[in-house]
Amino acid sequence: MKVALTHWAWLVRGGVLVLFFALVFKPEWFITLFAPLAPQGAPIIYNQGSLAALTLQHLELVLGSLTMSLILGVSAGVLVTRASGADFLPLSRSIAHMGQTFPPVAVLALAVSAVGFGTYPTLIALTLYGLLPIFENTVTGLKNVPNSVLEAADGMGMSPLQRLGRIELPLALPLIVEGIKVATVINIGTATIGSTVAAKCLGEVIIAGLLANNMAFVLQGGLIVGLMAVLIYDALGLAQHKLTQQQVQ
Amino acid sequence: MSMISIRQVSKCYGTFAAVDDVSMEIEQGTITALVGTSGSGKSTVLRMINRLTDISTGTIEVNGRDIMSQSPTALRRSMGYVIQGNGLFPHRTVAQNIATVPQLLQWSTQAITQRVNELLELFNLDPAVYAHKLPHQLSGGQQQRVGVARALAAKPQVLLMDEPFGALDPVIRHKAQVDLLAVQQQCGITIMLVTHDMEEAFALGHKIAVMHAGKVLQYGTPEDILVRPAHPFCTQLTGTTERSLKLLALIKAQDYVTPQTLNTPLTLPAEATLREVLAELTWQGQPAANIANSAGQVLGSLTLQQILRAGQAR
Repeated sequence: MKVALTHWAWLVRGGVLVLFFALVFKPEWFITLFAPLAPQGAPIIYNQGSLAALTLQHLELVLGSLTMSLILGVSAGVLVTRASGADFLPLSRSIAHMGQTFPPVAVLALAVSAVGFGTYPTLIALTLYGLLPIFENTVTGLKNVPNSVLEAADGMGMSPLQRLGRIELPLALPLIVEGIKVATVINIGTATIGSTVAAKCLGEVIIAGLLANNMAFVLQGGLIVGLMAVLIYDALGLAQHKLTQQQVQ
Repeated sequence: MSMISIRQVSKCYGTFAAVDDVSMEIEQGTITALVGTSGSGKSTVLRMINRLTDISTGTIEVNGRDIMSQSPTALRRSMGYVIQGNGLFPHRTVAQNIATVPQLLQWSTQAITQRVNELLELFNLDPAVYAHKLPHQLSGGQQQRVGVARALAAKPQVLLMDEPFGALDPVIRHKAQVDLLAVQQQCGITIMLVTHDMEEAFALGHKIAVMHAGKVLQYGTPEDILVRPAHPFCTQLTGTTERSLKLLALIKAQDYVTPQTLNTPLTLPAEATLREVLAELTWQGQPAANIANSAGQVLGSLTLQQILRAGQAR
């Protein structure tokens, strides 16, 4: 029964993956499907650029911002869980929360006024968005390490850095990956609005569709973004499962 | 020779003295039990020895060396440390857990593997079965043994134990105490052990220090504490009931035997305590028993009268 279920899961995974690549590289396969959504005489398949190139740029945007969120979020999480940094925990928490409560469009507008149009304001906005889940999960993961384990690490003669690298971070890793998962999904979706400030990404397809009142474009862009989020979320989930299996408490 | 010298050590938090002017000399190769209620400062004394807690005033020397003359990490790597609930690293295998300090000391891989296997065998854990298990796959008693094995990995001269058996159920606890005594006799290590359980202190300690409100009220042999309590609190801890039986439990048959073989069907082992001999005599309805060592050689005998005299207040 369980075997049959996992077989199904892999079958669905494969299907979604094939659908995703088909939408990106062979969009003409879907002409009949999208035709009813496009206005009379208008192009059915996005023709203002390469979908593959836009997908890649979209991914780059997400990966770039995630890397920065990861570096900032994890180091901040580590700092505020040290005895010397404990005073900064409430402050950094509220900063990370503020990053989240600001509407994305407002952050973009502010970032544009600071660094101009293009990729950079989008990167800044996405970095801020990914920061909160990664930071919060790092803090929770590190705080969840049992006291007796920390005490043992100290008592064995580990230096603070050895304790962090060999004991605390490995034990917090499953939760940190959970944070990365959430941040990735948020950012894959939010990156689309980067197109409003001239960042190259799949948002262009959607916006082109909105401008020309062409729902076929909107659906194409939306589907690719959505499937990308589902696939990456699932892949990270598998990685996380593997990690937690290795260290069930 | 004393292995640990604690001289006029205090630990103050503001005006509150958690440890108040404590001095103790701990002999090499002995087990010292620090007993007291919670908040008596017993754990703090222990934690000051490996510098997990800083000393406010006074000095501690281990093996003739001031602990403040070494870095805390180097000092801790030279001592074993066992805590309640064992504190095993949940993401590391049994072998990796035991290898912790040798790894920190950068032993060769071969030396580490050899030492890990040696210790697993010492604690009756088959390396082929247990080396690659994770802590959560072990029973409580096994986890506790791995915790002690980990503390002994780098062959320290001193082992510090903070309520090491606190989380074990009574049956496993007794077994763990017997094992610890055997291991201690085998490697001659100096052990300092914190417990709130007077029975445990009596079972394990060559010497017992009774602590209360940051002070050591009495530091002496278990017999001293029982027979010549220096403070009403010591009497309170040992309890006034069954004092004679507790006293008998401290004396081994081999140390009290009369070198004269009697005509009795009962022969008991020399390592038995007088309390155990008394119980057996009562159970069998015999007035006396012969005492034989592990080789089966009869050392002499013990009579009920002699045992009852040994249990009298002095």
